[in-house]
Amino acid sequence: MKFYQLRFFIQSACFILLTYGGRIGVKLGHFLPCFSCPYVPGCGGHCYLMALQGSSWGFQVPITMLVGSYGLTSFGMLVGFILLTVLLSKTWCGWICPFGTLQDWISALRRKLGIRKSYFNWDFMDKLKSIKYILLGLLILIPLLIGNTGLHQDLKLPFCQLCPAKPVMPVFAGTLRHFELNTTNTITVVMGILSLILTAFFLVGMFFKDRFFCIFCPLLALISIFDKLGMVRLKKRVDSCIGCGNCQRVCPADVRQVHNEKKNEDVLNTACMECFNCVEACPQDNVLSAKWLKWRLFSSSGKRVAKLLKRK
Amino acid sequence: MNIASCKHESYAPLRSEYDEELTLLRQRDDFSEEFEYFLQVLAAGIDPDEFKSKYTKQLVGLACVQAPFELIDALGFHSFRMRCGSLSMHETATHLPSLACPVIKSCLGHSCAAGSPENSCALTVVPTTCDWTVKLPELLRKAEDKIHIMDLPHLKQNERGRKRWLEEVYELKKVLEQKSGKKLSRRELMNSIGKYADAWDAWGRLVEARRQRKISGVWFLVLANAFLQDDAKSWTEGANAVLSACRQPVATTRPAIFLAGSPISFPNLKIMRLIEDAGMDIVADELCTSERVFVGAPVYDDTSEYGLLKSLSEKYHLACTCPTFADNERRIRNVLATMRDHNITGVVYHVLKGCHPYDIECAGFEKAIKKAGFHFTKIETDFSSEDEKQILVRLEAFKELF
Repeated sequence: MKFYQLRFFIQSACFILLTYGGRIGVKLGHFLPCFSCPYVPGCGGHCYLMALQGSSWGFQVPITMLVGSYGLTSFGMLVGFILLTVLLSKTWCGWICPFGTLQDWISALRRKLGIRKSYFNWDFMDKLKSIKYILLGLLILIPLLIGNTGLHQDLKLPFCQLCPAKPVMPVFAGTLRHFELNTTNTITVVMGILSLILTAFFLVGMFFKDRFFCIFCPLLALISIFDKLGMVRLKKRVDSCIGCGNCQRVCPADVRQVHNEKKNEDVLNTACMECFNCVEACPQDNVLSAKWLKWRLFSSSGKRVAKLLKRK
Repeated sequence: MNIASCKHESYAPLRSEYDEELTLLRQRDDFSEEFEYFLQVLAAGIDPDEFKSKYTKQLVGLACVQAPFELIDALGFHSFRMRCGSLSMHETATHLPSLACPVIKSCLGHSCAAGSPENSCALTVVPTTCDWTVKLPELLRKAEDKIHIMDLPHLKQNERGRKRWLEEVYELKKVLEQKSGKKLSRRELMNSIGKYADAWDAWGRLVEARRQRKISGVWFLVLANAFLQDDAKSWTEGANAVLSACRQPVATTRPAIFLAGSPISFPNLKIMRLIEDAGMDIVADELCTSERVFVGAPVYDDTSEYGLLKSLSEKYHLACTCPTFADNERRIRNVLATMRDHNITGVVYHVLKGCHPYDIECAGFEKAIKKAGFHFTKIETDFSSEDEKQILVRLEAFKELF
């Protein structure tokens, strides 16, 4: 099986498992490091961002509670998240995340139609990439303010309320109800309208730019904190790299460092989603490799690239 | 000074030069009938009529290897590298300074020869690599619609350089579209990329065979030079035939050499032959007329015209380690990595008198090679045969180091 077929197969299997798994009893918990959206009826597990913002295991509680037994339970949830993150690193994003898979399907449609993708200037892209850290900060700060300063309860789960996965992913389970406006009060209406605007914005963005949402994804920012501990690594034989630029061009996250790196063999970048398109596109044998601990998962190969171009 | 002052009466000197080299190649112990195809490709250059009957499409002459072959092919032209290895043609460019680069002199000689492929191509494409190449369009004095200059950015690693080169590739597309009277089709460009990927695949296997000494450095160079003249599909078939008939690796005590520096082109294989005569095997090189002709492959994920041209422009720009680039540190790293990977322990650095970029990078190159514990020698020469004995003595002495 070819690399791109393998990835497509695994992504599709994970999409089905995480979107419909609950219907056959699959319950992978509330701390998954991917956008397995809890708003999808019958999903197979929940995105950790909801737990992080919530009042069951997250920050939407008085600070004093965080140091008690509640804090311990929350910490346990965090430990579960970290263990999963360390085990599979960011392959959660590139191979497992259902929302990521949906974006890849949309990009595949664009490619099929031969429509040009959008390219952002390097400086602009770097600025956009930093937004996800601000979002991560806000999705912790706002629940803390709700739990401690009396900020309105209808701002709970602020990120989930605005996340485009909330209305879009349930569509695959046959429901459109998260496209409806909640008219309870001004806050719910404003948040609902914002959600719809952002969803439209991201759907258009996803069509013209690979993994457009992932540029802003706070979960990717959170996972990146544990990059150094991750067991899945991206390695480069820096001296053998001819610098052809394929890795940078096919990267859905516009990562430049894999191409630029001339010293360190570890080239996993914070914006990387470990899709390993770069490994597939590298024309030099064994210059780029994906590894799990010391074991090589697969490496770049000239023969593979030649076949890839003939296929196209 | 212009092309009009170029004296060229007949092809007789060129023919004898070609015949002499072809005979030497056919007399080699490792000659096999599979190589004959490539010798025929190179020999086609002697007779303009034969060349034009072999390649019936409109011709596009290339002064360097930065113009994307795939784009030219997709628009229905036959591209070929303007020949630049002939001593007799070099000698016709008498109006140039005596220390001018022999490659440019020879190229100019070919271009002014009446009816030559270089003289009669629909378009001559000149990427502005070294200073000599920059002056080439002026020396050629071709009609404005017969020559196209591609302004090569000498910085690769920044966004500006890449954008500018992509603009140049777009400009080339525009000029070729005007010449051919047809629009570039995405499908045809993808087909061309696929066709060249076939050739690149065979190329990679040839490089591997060369590393294992299944094919000699001389034959690799002949195949590479032929690639620069030939149609990619026919060349691939020929290369696959050579690969099928490759000899088994032979146990040998001959030192493995890396050949670096200025380009070497048929019919002037003097340095290659002298290295072999001195008892060394050239198992790798970085010449822009040999291994570096075809580096990398333009993988694309954006199937729009823009995406395809971007992938081509980056492949031909970023992967090029010509010393005319200002940010070229990958060159020495790549050479060292190849040497370590394939137990190559010495470098012969070939500098053509007048080839300043390679000469300038030589000192730093030598330092890095010696620091890594490898042997290094620099040979400075030209196309003439006068210094052959002296070079052979130096190379034999160099061999004793191993």
